[in-house]
Amino acid sequence: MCAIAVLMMPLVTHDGYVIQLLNIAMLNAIVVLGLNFATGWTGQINFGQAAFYGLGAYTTAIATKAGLPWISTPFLSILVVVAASIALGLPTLRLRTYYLAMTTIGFGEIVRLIIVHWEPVTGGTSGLRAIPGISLFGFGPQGQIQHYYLLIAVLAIAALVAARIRHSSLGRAMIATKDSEIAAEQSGVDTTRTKLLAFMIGAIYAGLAGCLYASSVRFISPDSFSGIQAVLLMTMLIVGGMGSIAGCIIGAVTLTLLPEALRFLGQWYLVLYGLGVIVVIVLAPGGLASIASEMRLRLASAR
Amino acid sequence: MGQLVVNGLSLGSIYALVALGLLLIFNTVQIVNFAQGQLLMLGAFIGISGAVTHELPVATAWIITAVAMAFVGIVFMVLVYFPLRGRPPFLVILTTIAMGIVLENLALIIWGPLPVSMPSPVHGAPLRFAGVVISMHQIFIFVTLAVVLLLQFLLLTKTRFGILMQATAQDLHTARLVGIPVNRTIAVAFAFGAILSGIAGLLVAPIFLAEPTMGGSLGLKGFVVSVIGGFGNMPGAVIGGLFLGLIETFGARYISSNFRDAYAFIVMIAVLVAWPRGLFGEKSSEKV
Amino acid sequence: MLQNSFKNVVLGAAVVCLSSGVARESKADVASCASPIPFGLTTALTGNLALLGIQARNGVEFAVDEINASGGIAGKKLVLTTEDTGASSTDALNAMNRIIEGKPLIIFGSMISPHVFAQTEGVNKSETPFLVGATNAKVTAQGSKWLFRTHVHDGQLADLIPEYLVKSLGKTKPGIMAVADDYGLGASRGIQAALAKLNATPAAVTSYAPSDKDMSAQLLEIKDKGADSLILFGRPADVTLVIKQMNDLGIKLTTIGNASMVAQTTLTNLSAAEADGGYAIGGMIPQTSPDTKILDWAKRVQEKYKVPADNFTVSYYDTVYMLKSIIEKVGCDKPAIRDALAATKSWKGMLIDYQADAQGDLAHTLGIYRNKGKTPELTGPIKENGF
Repeated sequence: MCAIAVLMMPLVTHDGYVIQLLNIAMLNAIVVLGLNFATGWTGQINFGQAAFYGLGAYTTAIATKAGLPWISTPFLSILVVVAASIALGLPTLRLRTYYLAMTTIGFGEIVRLIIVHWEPVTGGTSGLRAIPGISLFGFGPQGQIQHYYLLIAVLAIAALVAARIRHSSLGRAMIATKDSEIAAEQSGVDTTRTKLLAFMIGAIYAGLAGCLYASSVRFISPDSFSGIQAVLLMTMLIVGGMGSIAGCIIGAVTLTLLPEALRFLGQWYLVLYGLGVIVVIVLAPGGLASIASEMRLRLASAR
Repeated sequence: MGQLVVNGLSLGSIYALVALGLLLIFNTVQIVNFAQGQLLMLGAFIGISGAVTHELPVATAWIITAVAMAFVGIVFMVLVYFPLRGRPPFLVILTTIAMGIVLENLALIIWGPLPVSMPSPVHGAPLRFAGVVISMHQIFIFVTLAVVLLLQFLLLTKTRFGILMQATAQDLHTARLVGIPVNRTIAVAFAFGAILSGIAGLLVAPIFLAEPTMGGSLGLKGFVVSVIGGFGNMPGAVIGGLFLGLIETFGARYISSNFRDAYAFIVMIAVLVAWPRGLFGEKSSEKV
Repeated sequence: MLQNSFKNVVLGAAVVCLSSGVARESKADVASCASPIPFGLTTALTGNLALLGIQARNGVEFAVDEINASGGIAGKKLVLTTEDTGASSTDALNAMNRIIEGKPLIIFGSMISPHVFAQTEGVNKSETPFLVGATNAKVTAQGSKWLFRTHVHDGQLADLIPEYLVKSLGKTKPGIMAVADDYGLGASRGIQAALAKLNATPAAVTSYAPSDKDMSAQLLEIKDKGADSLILFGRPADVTLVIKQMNDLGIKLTTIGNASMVAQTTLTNLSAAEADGGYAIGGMIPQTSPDTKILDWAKRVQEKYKVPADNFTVSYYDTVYMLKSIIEKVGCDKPAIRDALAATKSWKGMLIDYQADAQGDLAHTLGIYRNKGKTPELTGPIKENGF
């Protein structure tokens, strides 16, 4: 039923603004799904997810503006983010919580600085505009509504893949690593490999989302992939429900739409946002997803 | 080049003070407070409210700020530490980050975005020798750092209370079982941690001016220093801070000013790769 | 069911007929403008660019309120819808989409170039005149026929500052310091290119992050490499620090920069000795005008918004009045307004005249300023080459 509502959305709202907002929300959801692998399931804090998002976007933009066919960009993006995730993952595998957090923050900052100062290639702080859109054999989605359906499909695939991984041995290894690395090692789990894979898969999700972002919004600049964005992605994961696939999507959509709806609050918006995150963490650490499933349970038992 | 050393060290002293505040809290409750930079900012603005808006003598403003920051620290503890006891560190990190966002934006609403200055507690012409200029305020920064270190060392090792704090840090549960007033020591840790950052803010305002977003970058450097020095280690924090100040300044001068912020992270990552527990190692348990 | 759809078709046709009739009528007649007349504005009201972004809101809103207080345009009031772009271009895009929803007659963009770049395509599609203060030289090179810029830009500064430095001040080996955002780095590149054309080589090219507090390393590099002057491109908050630190280090260099050198926000935090002697070339500011009416205007703006008016406030204020006079002539027809903007030959604003060039730039007069103690003095206006 939910699915029908989602698919009917463009017919109801028509306008560009809400649809574009939803498109961005769905892209965020894919990134957050990626973040969930490393952070939600494997317990590895990752403040570098926004950097992977940006790397995917910039790789795509630079490639298509240089004349490469669009079909190459998802592959190029994956290549770049996998390399970057290995570069980030290898030194950090031995690190614990706070050190890991700081390292991923540092990674994100270094990537951002490179983008800002490598002006001939990345356009620097002005960003890159007039990025060519998605084009396969001459066909591509035109307008926000067609992108909307494309993104729904991509998001659905991303969620399905995530679910499959969750129920695979890799997924179990991830959860085991999060709960206790020592116990996991003793049960035969290669925690090093698991952590690295979690990083990589998460980075691939973000990189592909970045590819789609560049090809649909068609303008990118470093400020969309900054450290603040990394924090926002984290809060989407937490507020939505860490470890839950539905939670990732709920969190991403909620925290993409909410700021827009509450813009009238002006400066107070960020104050309330911060307080809201704290309240959710303290009162409902399972996020909105856990609240939703609890409500469903109560409704079910009430009948 | 001597000038670079002086400026690097005075900047590093600020970083060290932020790190010391972080460490005090971490050592007691195993929480890294990602809002430490915003506490620095609060200290600066409270000081300015006293010294500039209400035209009190600077020394009085400092005392008022210290008292206010102690209060802020305790409120912080109530809002952040108590509700999140026992929760995974990851959630605590996010909570403190969220607190930082709240504080920064409240400051923007209260004090506005324009940068404001504050007079230094010391006056006088700068010292000049061998082509190097040292301002009275920079000397004051070094002296303050030394005094803080000494006081903290004395407090932790020579006073009964300090020893209680160390016991609490080592093993909270046992400490409680043994009858140590654990909550009180935690409150003191938060209070002093906040005061330390507040002092850093008071030191920063006269030279770097105060504006609500000043906490982000300074706080971040403070964390980097804590990581480099190894959590749980006071001398590590100070040496790490001074070291970072020098690296940033020399790096900006001789390598490239564009990547100044990156040097901090590159050094940090390099140190961590070689010593996963920081240069001087942590004292505390596996949990981190 | 067939009856229903038939009715719908007739109704639809009627609506189309009526609206096209109305559209035809509104073309040259301000009397048939919608009432109130809708203006839209996006700018940074929160985030780290807010200090800059609010000047756009202040300028536009002050003018709109003034016009409404004196009866509006041909008796119709203006209504201004403002959306906050925040700090990220993605948010700026969303803000613009919201504005476009409301179908405004005119859209104002901010002076933050990455945001304007992100928004231009959307505005083009809505076919609405887009008035911006964004200073990156390439903003008007996007080929948008709807975009007009009413503030001087970095391309002009990049040419004029080196020229003035070399030819009028006689300094040929400047050190360059620029804030590492779009504003500073864009200007820095242009300045380096212009210096090359003048056969002057910079002694050192440095930058600093917007949040940096200690710029002594950059200053020392510039001094060590034997610079005879300093070109400083930043925001008032960081320019203040650079000048302070320059003084603390005992570095004495002729300093020239953008309007931040003479901004009230900068001068408030400097001593007279520190500020004295600094040069600026940039958009003209109201505080140096000999005209008491302009000084009074600046005071009233500061009283209302608690921040001093700057060159952007003036430019946005002027733009609203310019549009008022255009609407009075051609009515509320967006293409007609666009054409009138493009055909502007000489419209007298508060401090400068506006004239449209082929790319959509209307501001070609800048001011040369010099600080006398903490007070900026206008040395004179300077025009872009070719105007």
